[in-house]
Amino acid sequence: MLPEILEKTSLVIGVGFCLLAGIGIVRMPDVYTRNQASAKAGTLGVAFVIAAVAFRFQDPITTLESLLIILFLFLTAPIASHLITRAAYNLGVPQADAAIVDDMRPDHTARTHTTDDQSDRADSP
Amino acid sequence: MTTRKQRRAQRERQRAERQRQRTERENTGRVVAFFVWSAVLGVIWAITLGVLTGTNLLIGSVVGFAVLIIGWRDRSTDFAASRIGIRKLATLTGFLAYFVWALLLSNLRMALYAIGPRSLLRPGIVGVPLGDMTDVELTSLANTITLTPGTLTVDISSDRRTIYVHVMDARDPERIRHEIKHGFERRIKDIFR
Repeated sequence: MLPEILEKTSLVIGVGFCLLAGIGIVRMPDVYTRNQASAKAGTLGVAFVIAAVAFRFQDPITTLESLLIILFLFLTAPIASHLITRAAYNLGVPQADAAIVDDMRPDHTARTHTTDDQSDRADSP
Repeated sequence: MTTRKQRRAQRERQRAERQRQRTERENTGRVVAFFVWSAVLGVIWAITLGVLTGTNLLIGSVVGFAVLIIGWRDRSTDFAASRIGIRKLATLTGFLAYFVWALLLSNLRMALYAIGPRSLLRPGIVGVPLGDMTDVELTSLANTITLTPGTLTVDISSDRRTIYVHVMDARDPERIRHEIKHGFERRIKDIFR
């Protein structure tokens, strides 16, 4: 009885988080905030769904496998969203108007200018 | 005179002997750690395959051993060098508990941003100064930040002293710096040291 309740509960919570991730992606104003919504809610949602699978089958191997899947999910999901965000920033995608800070701008400008100077030097005869 | 000299020589001999024994113990410890770690990796391998048989455990251990040998060359990936003791396991458990708590909290906060009015949003990119960290520690920190309270790692400065974090609520950058510095950086360092 209890495992069944746990199974259904985590399934509902997981699906709920996935739905929130979806709503977040639609409603957020820019790449960065959208990525935040999908990176977190999506990962946790899938983790809960996998936990529901473990509660459903209730055998040690499935449980251990589920734990491993969740572990690898948590190890890899942030890397993807980090790379998307980084690529967006380096391509010059602006933040939404609501944004109030950008500490990275000076460092980024310094870096891109160095590369520009080098390419100028390489191009000049 | 002679007795004093002899005594000093004897003391030095003893010290050298102790040093030798310590190195020997450390070497034995490393060999043991290698085998324990490959056994652990072998079990993980067998679980991944879903079949816990002797053959799978053996194959997994051999593959794990190969991985450890590859990682051995670089200090930052030398997992056999990290001692696993009760204290470390306690630190790790504490970190995991803290992490799960932060994860749940961050998701509830994200839910608020996703459903709530847009005026709640005050996003921004905040630079957080870091202490000395190895590659593995930096990676773990970056991943942890991405998964927790309204923060997402964008980049690390080329001198590795600053991590740039995108936050949903950038009205108080000092609080964010403080949270990352004293919440996660310290805990991650505790695990890897």
